[in-house]
Amino acid sequence: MTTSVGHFTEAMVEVASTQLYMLKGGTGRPLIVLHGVEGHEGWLAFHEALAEHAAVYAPAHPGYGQTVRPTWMETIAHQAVFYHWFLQEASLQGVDLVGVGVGGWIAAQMAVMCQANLRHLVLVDAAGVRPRQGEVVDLFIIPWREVIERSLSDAENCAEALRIYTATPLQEFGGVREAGRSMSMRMCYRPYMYDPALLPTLGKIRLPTLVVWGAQDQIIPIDCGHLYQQAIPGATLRVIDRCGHWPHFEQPEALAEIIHEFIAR
Amino acid sequence: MPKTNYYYFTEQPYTGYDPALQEQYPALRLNLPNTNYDPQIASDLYNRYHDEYQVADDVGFDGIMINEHHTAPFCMQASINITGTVLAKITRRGKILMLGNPLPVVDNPLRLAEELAMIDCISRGRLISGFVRGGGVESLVNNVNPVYNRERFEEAHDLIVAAWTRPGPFRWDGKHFQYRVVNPWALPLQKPHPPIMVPGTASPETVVWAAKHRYPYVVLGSSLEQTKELIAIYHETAKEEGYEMKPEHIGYLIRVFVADSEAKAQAEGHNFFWQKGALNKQIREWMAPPGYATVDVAGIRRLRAISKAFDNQAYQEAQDNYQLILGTPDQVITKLRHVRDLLGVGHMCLWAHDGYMTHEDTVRCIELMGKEVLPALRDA
Repeated sequence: MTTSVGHFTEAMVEVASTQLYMLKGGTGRPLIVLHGVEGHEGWLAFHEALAEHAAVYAPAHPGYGQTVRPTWMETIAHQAVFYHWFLQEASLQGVDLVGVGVGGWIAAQMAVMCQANLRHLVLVDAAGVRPRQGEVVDLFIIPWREVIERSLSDAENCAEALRIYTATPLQEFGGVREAGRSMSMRMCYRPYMYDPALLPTLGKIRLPTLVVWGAQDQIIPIDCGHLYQQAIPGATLRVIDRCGHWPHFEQPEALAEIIHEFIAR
Repeated sequence: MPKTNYYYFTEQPYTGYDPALQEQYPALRLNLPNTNYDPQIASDLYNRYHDEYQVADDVGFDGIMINEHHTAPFCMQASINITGTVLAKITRRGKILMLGNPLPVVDNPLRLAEELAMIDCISRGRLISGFVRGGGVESLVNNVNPVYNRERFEEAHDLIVAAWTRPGPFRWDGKHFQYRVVNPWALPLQKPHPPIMVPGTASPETVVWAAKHRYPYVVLGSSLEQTKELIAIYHETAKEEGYEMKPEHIGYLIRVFVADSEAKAQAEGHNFFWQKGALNKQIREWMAPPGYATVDVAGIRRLRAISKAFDNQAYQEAQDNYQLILGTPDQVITKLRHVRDLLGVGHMCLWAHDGYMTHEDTVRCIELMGKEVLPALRDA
């Protein structure tokens, strides 16, 4: 099933008996965007900006509401396996893989597992490694509204966040976002937001890798950005100013521009 | 009139912190700094509460109900099994009613089975082993994933019952727990195993689970209307399972304080509000972290709609609603009879101490209950 809405299409794609919710827009080389704990909030300004030069795939991870969780899926590594199956079944090759937050963790895990179908790796304020200094803010014991506010450097003036949370206001319990928060809890609770085996295995990545961090990220310390950059051979780190933990919400054009520049090389 | 057992209960509150802290920490738990905890005060309180348990045992309660919470000044029992062990030695007659061990937060249920077996042996078969899921905070402070709460509850239960009843050695390969050898050399005295009870406040799933296992379900002070709904769910489930629900299958916990004069009881009753609604001030993420609770079940929504938190009621309102019973023995006998017969419960847990009540007032309350209230309730 595929329906076309504006500049993108909406489809359920079958991957190993799971119906994967997928938005797709633009033409060019395939570029996959993996979302983070914020969940799948539809076709974003970020997707639109990327779609000017690429065929953008924006899936909702299994367990995050729009895509039902297969009962075996419990971990980030399971997500990575699943998305490799998607690449195979969709016959995608030379993929530019972009992940934000927990999506960055999934992307890094995918690159560690197999790089055959990948071309570039972009990790944006990615979870997955433990900072040497500071702590990742515990998103599971503060109100969700506060998570959103602290994920943005200037929540009151973030047009994308205002659009998203006005169109579909937060609710106390239930709904698609509850499913996503539960799935994040399932995968990232303990150890909290990192896998001790990830950092030691990043050194085998041979993909051109860009690490991007919001200068005002108050959720994941930028030390994690340095760790990713140092662990992945040849990786570069770019910092976006006036930007918190969610650059794809707060600086969508600037982030897309940096990514275009990187993957065009 | 149902044949009813009566149990004494206190949460063992830690009252030694400055109440003004609540301005900064409204829920008074999880992030309330433990620099405000004074072990000297705690030492005195533990021993005082144990002395009061002995009085309750002496005056004729059928048992003593105990519980467990973590990072919570409202309850000093970080390990219900330690209180249970103390009771096994310092009381002689009454049951040790644990409501209960929070199974999902335990990483080694086999050790729990061993500890409970030891308590049953040491107490010469007086253990009633309740199991609970524990609120969200219990999972958070023990760092157990709330998403697996129900799965871990059910698997830990199955493992404990197996460890008690199935001849060892055997292997356990579960989703959450694995043992190469289950073969405990501590087995319960009571056969086939100590009675199991399950307390709860609102979750229909838990009632159904208890009823399917024929375990008594104890409603922890929910409103009478909500309690009746929960009992109805038990009744229905029992019918589906092919047996008839009896009073012994249902219990109720109720706040009650007795004094020589009505004025004294009314004055002391305010202690049941000593934390000024702190528990209701927990954020949703603490009470029910994402993945912990079933959120989209109609039955739960209905129960929520009719629930009324104790702390949100005015003092007189709580008494009018039979959520708080205060008075002289004659006054509370009438009211307790009303609640008992309305609900038809075979277990009544009398929450007879809280907050800043003094040792003397507490002991007097326990004595009046033992000498006047319990005999009257047993008569009619």
